[in-house]
Amino acid sequence: MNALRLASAIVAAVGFLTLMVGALMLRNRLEAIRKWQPVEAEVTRAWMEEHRGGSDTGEDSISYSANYELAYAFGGKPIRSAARSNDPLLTSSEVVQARIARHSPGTRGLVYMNPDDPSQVRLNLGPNAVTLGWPLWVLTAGASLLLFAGSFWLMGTPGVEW
Amino acid sequence: MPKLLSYVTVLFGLVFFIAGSWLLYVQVLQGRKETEAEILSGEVERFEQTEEGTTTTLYRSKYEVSFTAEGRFFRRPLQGNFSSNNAGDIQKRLSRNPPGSRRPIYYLRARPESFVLEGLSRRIGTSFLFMAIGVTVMAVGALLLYQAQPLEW
Repeated sequence: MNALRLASAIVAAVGFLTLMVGALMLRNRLEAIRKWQPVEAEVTRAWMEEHRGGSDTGEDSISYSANYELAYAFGGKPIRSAARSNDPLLTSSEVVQARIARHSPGTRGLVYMNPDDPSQVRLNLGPNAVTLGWPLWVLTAGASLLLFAGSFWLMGTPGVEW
Repeated sequence: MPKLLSYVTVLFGLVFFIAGSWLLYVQVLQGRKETEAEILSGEVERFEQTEEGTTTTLYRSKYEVSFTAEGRFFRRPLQGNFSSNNAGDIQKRLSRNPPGSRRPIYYLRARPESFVLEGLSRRIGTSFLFMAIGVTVMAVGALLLYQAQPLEW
């Protein structure tokens, strides 16, 4: 086996493993999506939270998150719970303010509740960019590595040595 | 801005994909045909290569081959596809391709004088590599676009 074919076999093995990990991650996420039940909740309070963190340059970095207090019912029992948007923390306060304005107190929206503990609630749990993000990136990486491995394998076809 | 970046990424990937597809078209659909060439003579050729101010003496094989393609007879010089700073390496290759031996070559039907030594699978490997880069970059662009979509909450 020549060097290119050996490299392609290694890349294929890594690609296959990555693809399997991605598929497992996707399955877990989809199972979580299926498990948490969608419920309609009323926003009772909405506020923006500021997060300060240090950076490598020694300067403080500021990011923001949208936070909500929600009221909903499960099994005829009223529940109040707090939730933070699981979007990665945003650096623009305007974007967060606009999001909060969309869900001002009194508005209703779909959220996802843990049936094992109805006080646990998640926002944006549907099959969206946040919940499927990482598994899709890992799956793409695995598939790409397999494509590259195939190309290297073909390029490594032994030929006549002139 | 992230959306613009996604579109640029998809476009960049598309360029690679089209380049790979075009290469594949040239190599497969345009179709090189295989024929056998007879080696008439072979010798070690010495040449110099200058890189970053340093001149290196290298050696490669040089043959004269003849073949028949599309009903026409051709007699052409042919350079080996490998060079080395050791003339002995080239001599070994020459001994594996002695005068009188026959080897496969691949020519274009429209221009039989244009021929290559690499078989189809080696040549389409490069096309697939370009297409693989294109597909990967397009997938990254699509994922960026997907993630740029605003969330409900």
